[in-house]
Amino acid sequence: MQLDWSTLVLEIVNFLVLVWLLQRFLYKPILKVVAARQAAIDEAARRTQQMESKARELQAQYEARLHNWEQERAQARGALLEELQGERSRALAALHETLEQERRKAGVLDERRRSEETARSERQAMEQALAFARRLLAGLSGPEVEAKLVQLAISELGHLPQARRSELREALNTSSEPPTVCSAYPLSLGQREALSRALGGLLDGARECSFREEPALLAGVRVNVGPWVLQVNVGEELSLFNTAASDGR
Amino acid sequence: MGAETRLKGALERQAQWVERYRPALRVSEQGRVLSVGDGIAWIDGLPTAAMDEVLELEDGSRALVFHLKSERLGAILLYQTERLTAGTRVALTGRRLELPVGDALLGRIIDPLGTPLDGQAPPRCERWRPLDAPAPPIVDRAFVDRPLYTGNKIIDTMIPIGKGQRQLLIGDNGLGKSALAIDAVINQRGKSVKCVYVLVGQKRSTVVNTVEVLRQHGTLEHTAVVVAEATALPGLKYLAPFAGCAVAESWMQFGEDTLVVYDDITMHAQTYRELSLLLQRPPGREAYPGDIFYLHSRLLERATCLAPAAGGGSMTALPIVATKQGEIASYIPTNLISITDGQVYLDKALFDAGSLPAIDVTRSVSRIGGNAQHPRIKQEAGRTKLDYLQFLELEVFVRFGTRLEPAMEKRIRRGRALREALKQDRLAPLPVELQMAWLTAFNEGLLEEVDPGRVAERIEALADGLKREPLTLQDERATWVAAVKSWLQADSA
Repeated sequence: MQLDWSTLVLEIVNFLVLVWLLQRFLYKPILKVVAARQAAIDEAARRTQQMESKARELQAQYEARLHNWEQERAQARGALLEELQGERSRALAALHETLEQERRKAGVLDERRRSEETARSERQAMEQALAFARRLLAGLSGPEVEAKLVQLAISELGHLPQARRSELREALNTSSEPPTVCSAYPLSLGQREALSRALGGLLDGARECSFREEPALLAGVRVNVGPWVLQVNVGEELSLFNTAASDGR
Repeated sequence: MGAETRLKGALERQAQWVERYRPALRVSEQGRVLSVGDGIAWIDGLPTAAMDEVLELEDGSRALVFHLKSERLGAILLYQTERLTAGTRVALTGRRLELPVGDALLGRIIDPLGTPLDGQAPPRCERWRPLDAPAPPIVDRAFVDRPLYTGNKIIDTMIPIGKGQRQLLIGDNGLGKSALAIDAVINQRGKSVKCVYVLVGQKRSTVVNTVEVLRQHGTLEHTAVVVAEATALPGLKYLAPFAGCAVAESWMQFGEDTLVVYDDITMHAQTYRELSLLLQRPPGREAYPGDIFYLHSRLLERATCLAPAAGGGSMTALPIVATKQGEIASYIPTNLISITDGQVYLDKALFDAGSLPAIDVTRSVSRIGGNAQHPRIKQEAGRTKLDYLQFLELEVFVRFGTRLEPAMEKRIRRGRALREALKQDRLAPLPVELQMAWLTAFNEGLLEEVDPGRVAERIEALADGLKREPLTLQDERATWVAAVKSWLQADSA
């Protein structure tokens, strides 16, 4: 091989130009790119670190907030449970009170119904007794029973208290009508005279009486002396029983 | 005292009487009629006669001792035969006047003595009750806190009535007092409230119309009607309100809720005046006897709400009083206003203006008020009365043609919508759910958007909607609002 100094120089120049070209158009851009990449990576790493620390911060905040919320929730839950318990107690108390009132009311109404039923039964019993007695006495009454009742009337007339006698006397003196004697059956002459005498003795002097029949008496007599009525008869006695029963209502 | 003891008590008393009994001469009194006429009789004798004792007359007539004088007594006739004349003998019965009471009277029309007037057999009642009885003592009473719905929009929202309250219906003749009362009775159908309608001194045509209206609306099943018409004896007209009260009281004593209408108390007062003057009692103001206040107070005090310990029932009273030319400051109306727990005043001007029912809200009041209102209704109706009263005052300015600021215009528009909403037909009581519906619609401003003349249609739409999708007062307000809006939108569409 023959060395040519011009070729060598030119080769060296060529090489240098190549190196310069490589450095200018390849090496530097590549370095630039690498540097840029490095910078970007550094920047990304820095940002990542920042985000990481922020995230840690936020997480801490979140955890703290969560902790507070948990506490508040627990408190609120406790308060709610307390309130519910209180409300439940109040509602139960109100319900018990209502039930107690209803129980009391039902007791009172039950008692009233039983009393009504009892009173009704009693009334019915007494009405039936009265009806029976009326039928029995209506069938059995006759002039004989009436005679006994007339005797009783005459006897009782003689034993009237003085105050009553005075009232009867005064009534008869002020009345324009004579005493009226009603009987269930026609009275005999003897019975009429006996009654007239008894009334005369009661009123201090003989009095003319008027006589008439009234079958509703069943047996016995009724004497009207002005505003007063003197009675010994079966009908009146049955009415007395009825009045006594009604007063028991 | 237990039932066992009571059983012994009555029968044992009778047994003791039988034990003591012996036949003897009985001395009793008899009186004689001196004169008879105008529904009263003067009687000679009977020195031991007691006030309000029933008398039996020889001819079959019956009378009640009403006035005691030293030389004679005055009695009001309860039943008069053609044979009654001067000289008729009179006997004491020793009993007070009682009438049969119980569920057998529901659907029946009777007179104050319990005699049926509807042509049917006498009601088979197992209980008897005196017409005049003392009012329940204070310890047996409870607060009025349960609503009684009349079905009337104005009353149920702004002048609410509670069970056990006495609420007066007052106004001139022909303004709709009886119509309101009948609506209240009709509205009790299906609500376990038994009603008694007392007609005092009314024309027979009025009695027939009232009974027919009640029958047509299926109300007679839970109503007893006590009638003492215009041609009845004054004694029966006097006793009619007491009879009605006794019938209702018998139900109240057994824990039931009752409603009594006295139609009308003015007639009753006039009848009492008539009887008192005939029997020569000293006349007082306006010729009424001095105890006219006591007559009505003792009647109306028997209407109350009983405590559970006394049975827990209630009697609500609606006495009706007629005024002359709107004068509520006259004698009988002022008496009744002071006795009752509030009044519903009907105004002639409102009636003539076509605002029916013609209830004057400014002069009506319920002293029980919201205490007897359902909480939901009370909440919705809370400001309604105040708003309405303020609207009535503001409306005066509109008549003068003055220009008003927008807020005032809105109020007036709202008030006009309310006035239209409060109008109501006769015999058309509203259920409480519909009251809730229209109140909700009004409070949400849904009734102000339309022409006042169309408010009634909107309320009809609410009624139709309620039939399709029933709601109750227990439902949430939001549910009501949504439902009401949808019903009105459907109607608009």
